Amino acid sequence: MTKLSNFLSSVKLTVVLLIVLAVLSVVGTVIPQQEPAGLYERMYGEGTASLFRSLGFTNMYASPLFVALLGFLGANLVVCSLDRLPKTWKLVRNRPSLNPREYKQMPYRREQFVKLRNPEWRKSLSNVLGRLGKVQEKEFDGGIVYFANRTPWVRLGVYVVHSSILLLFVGGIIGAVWGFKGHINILEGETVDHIDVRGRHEPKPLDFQIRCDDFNVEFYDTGAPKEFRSDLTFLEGGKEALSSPLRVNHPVTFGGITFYQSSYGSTLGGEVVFELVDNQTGETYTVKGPASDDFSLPGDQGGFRIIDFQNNLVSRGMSFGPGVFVHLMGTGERTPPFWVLQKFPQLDQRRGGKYTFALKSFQEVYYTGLQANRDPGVALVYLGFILMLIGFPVTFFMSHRMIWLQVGSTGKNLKVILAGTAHRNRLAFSKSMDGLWEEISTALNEEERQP
Amino acid sequence: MTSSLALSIVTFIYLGSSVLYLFYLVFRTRVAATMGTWVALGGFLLNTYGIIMRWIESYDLGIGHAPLSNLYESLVFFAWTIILCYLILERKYGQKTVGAFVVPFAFFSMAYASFSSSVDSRIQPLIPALKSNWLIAHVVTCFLGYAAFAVACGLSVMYLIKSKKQRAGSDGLKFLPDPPLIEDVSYKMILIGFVLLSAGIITGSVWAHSAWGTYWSWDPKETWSLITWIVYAVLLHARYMKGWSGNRIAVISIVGFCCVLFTYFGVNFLLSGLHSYAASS
Ligand code: HEM
Repeated sequence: MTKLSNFLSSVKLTVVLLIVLAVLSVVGTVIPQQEPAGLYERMYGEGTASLFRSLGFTNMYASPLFVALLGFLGANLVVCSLDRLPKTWKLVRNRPSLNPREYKQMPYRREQFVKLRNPEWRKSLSNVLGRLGKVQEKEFDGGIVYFANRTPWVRLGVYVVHSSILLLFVGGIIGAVWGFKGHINILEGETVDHIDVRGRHEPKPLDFQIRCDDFNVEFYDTGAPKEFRSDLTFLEGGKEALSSPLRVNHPVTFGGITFYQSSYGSTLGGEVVFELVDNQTGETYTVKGPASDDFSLPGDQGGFRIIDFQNNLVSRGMSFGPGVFVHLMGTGERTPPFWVLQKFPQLDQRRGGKYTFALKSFQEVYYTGLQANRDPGVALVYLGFILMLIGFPVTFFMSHRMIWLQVGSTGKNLKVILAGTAHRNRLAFSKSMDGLWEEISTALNEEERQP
Repeated sequence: MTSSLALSIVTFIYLGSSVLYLFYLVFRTRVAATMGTWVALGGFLLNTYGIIMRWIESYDLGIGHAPLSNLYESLVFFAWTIILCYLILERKYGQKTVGAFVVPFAFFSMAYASFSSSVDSRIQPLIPALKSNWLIAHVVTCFLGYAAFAVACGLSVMYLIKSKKQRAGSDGLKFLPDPPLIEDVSYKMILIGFVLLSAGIITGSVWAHSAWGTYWSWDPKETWSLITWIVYAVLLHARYMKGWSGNRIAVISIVGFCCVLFTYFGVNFLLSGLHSYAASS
């Protein structure tokens, strides 16, 4: 058991795990992730592709191997921290004795003898030591020990950092298990009561409704989008509960689900009017109906259906304007679906069907695409972020410093010892102690010069 | 003077400064180093002017935004942060030999921004997702962190050269600072860089969360910034393992900076990503 916990608490294990995780992450950026099956076979050949798949390399960051390593790292972190915390705690709480001694083991130590001229030396030393914050004093026979215990709690900083990482892990797990990522397209004016959730086949019903009152896109002169904005109303039991605009980067939360403006598009709405010309008789027919219904051909000889719509069909780098993709049904003709373009009414003649289709009019409605997520782990993750950003500076740029100044009088002389230790950044500590030493010496010498 | 003219000139000024520092390193003419510093300072001021002008110009175009939104602007800012970081360091430690190892990074960044055909230097309007204060915090912290890592990398190269010479018993490079000092400063830069990189990843993640509802989506750029972060975390922990100091730490620091460069450039050109810098080039 101790062997296992020694292994689990070793920094060597941490380094190995971090390196392996980094290497796997690199692999995950080189091999395309979560692509449809055939792609890997084409890229790497059958054998390699199936090897990658069985190792989980095609969905690296959710693969059992990767997740297990993260779990291992977490365990490493917990065991290591539990292992070390008691010792650190002792060091934080430690109150060193203030009895006179020689401080031979201290990383920083200087001593000198000064002639005693002025009995006021204590006052001026107190002045100098004032900048060290709280200074304890203890008298001994013929002398005094000053002691400053500076920021012992910074030793806990590294535990704050390590806990912050655990919080990220826990928050991530909670989000993955109890959260979801959904999406919903809502037409202008439409009300919906469900969203489509990634990884689920049926739509997820909501216990409220969302209505899109309006959708607007603004463009720059360059044609790049400037702003998307949906005006949403959330309804509960048919009553309006919240009306709010939704813009990119400004999400809105309702009923525990957060909505993000993520995309938009347009589709056909209302009535679509076609003009059909019979290619044999030259007779012209007008066919109209709602976009989502089936249309009947003249004389009830079959019908057709709109299966796609583009407000600007682009093909081979050219744009052809609005068009509908039409699928004929029950006509006996075996025609694959074809595009009917509003701006090119003659084009369909070339297909050589019974009728030439022309698109006379249509109504276009915009829909707004919303990302709809729930992530109950996000608060923990953000807490982790904050703790990490607090923990780093404390760990890196502060240190626990203990400083002793001992002044003993030996008859006509004062024996002055300045000693101290810092738990990190010793170079800077030494420098600041040298400065302190200078100040102490000057203070004592000034006293000398005074009559 | 327009921002683009100013920034083109900056490129040559940093080249001049690099040459002066290198001259000092090779021939040890004190005056070259002094000039190197003044030239770098002049370049830095003009660089600052260029960034501010570009900011103003974007407002004149009616698409005002902080000049931190595409690859060109980030390269210019990167050069600025490197020189800032270096000048502070030189002032603090007075080690002018370091200039030859660091200032060239700023030159390369500016040269790449100015001369590469794949970097579009026009001021572009911001698409909605990029309109966020988190994004500005993200770019600023990341690049300050990268600059600290660049300086640490330069120092690590210097460390390796110096300690190799020393072990070979040569004293030919006496004028380079002592290895313990180089190591100490380099470690400090890594700590600063690590805090800033962490802050950069965090602000980026908060931004992604506000724009798309996901604080982490493993896109290649994100993943590479995490890899970089892991490399430096390895460095911090390796110092607690027996026998890991000096040269090995210097090597990890160089590897770490290579990861920074890959996150920044490699991902855009070698891997497919969704980041805006990739999309705009
Ligand atoms: C990605 C995960 C981790 C990060 C970001 C991280 C971060 C840090 C940081 C910033 C320090 C301070 C380094 C310094 O003072 O120079 C540190 C120290 C340390 N870490 Fe980690 N750590 C991680 C994982 C771990 C794990 C899994 C262990 C488990 C053994 C561990 C053990 C230690 C130890 C023993 C120290 C030295 C503490 C001391 O100064 O008393 N770390 N870590």
